[in-house]
Amino acid sequence: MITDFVGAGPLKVTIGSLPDEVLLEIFIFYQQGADYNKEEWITLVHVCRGWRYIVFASPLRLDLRLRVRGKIHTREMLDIWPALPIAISPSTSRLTRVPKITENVIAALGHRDRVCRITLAFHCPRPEIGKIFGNDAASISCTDIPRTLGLAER
Amino acid sequence: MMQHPFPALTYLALWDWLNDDEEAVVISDSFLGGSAPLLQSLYLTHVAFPALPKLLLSANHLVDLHLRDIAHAGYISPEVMVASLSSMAKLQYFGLAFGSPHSRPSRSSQRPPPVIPTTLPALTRFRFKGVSEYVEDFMARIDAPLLCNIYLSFFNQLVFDIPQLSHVINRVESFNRLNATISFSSYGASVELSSEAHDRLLLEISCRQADWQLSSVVQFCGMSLHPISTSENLTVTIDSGNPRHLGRFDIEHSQWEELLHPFTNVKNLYLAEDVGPHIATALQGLVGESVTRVLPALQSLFIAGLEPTREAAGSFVAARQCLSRPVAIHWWEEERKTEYRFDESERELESEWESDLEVDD
Repeated sequence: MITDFVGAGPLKVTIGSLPDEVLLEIFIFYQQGADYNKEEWITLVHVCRGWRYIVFASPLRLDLRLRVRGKIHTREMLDIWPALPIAISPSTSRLTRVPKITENVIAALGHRDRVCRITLAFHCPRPEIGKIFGNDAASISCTDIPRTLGLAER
Repeated sequence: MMQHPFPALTYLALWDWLNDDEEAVVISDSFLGGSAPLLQSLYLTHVAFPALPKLLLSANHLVDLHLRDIAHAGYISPEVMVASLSSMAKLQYFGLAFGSPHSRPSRSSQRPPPVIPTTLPALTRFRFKGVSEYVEDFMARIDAPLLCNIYLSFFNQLVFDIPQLSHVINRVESFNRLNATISFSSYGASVELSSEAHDRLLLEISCRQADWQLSSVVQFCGMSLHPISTSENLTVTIDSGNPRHLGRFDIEHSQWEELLHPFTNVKNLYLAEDVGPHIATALQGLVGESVTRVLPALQSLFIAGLEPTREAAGSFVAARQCLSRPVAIHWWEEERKTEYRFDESERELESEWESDLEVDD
């Protein structure tokens, strides 16, 4: 309940009666104060259809991004969510322990028109880096990447 | 996968944590299809990307460009680097750090800078690590009217010949009456000139020998730099973490005296506990006209710790008093720095990386 003391007396309204523009401003304020890592806007879209509509109608103002860290099945995730910009930042230290990560990062990279942000830190075996960068066109090469990956060696 | 264009890409950060020059990741010419039209931030750490200039030519929206610990295989000459930045009207930060002193301009292929330099109209911050020949050539090719934050880190070298750099530094209007701090530590020496605002000039020299450190700092301070000759507050410190290192600063007094010469406008001199004896003894040794020729504007001497330092400084103060140039001695409670100086933007970058990579799904 929101209490408005402007005017003749206290006016009690529900948050649902606020105009969309006002809600959007509140969401932007909420998003700006949120931890960059937490993707708080996802909580907002789970509240109700109305809020979901407001959030997805303003992806730029809310700076919405789908973050791909690689652990969740990317293809499935991208099927569920609208075509929002994609930020890729896999936990590369886990690449060998969680084989799906490389596969999921590659799946996200496939959406070239939507990828707005890529953060890759290689503290993983070179073959895994080769897979991410593309082992068919030698877009990256290292001395210790096996020839079987088709990468050029220095 | 990444050899195709990514038309919506605004941020790209690649970091090889292995940090081994022999096994550096080398990015091929076709990376991102050779263009990145919307890119605003680019961070490359310890990767070699020889075709980077071509990519940069398409990146007209770039605001932050951080090239750190560039593997030697990815060396780009000053001429080519400046040409690749030529269309970047929005570039505010440019960091260029080579991983090895082998990355240096070749004298045989070096061409003289053009008569009209390339203007980088938005550049405010420049960070460089490498050899002085490179930055000298680079600076001769650019004009950055808003530049007010310069951080230079040189590999060990005996002689610095950087007239072009001095010229650029002297043209920065805000580099006036900055606070100067000279620091020595077991891994290098630095000269920092900074204000309360963001204006900052920092020079670091990586070398371990104390006499070389002092010699390098003397060379830099002696280059007729406006920010040094206008500085009113000078602090000199030695990192006391390594006692063996401290002992090596028993260098002839004339070197310390020479260090102070360019600071003609310093009113307040702050001497940290471990450096005090060396400088105070050098001041004590001044005779005749040299008593007022060194630090002629000095009014206050702030000394941390040791009584012998005060005694030595007392002789200098008495000599100045006789020449009607009084100097007051004050106790100074030194604020110990527990952390080595580190570029603020680098700290921000580290934090951003952590934020991006730390949390798993």
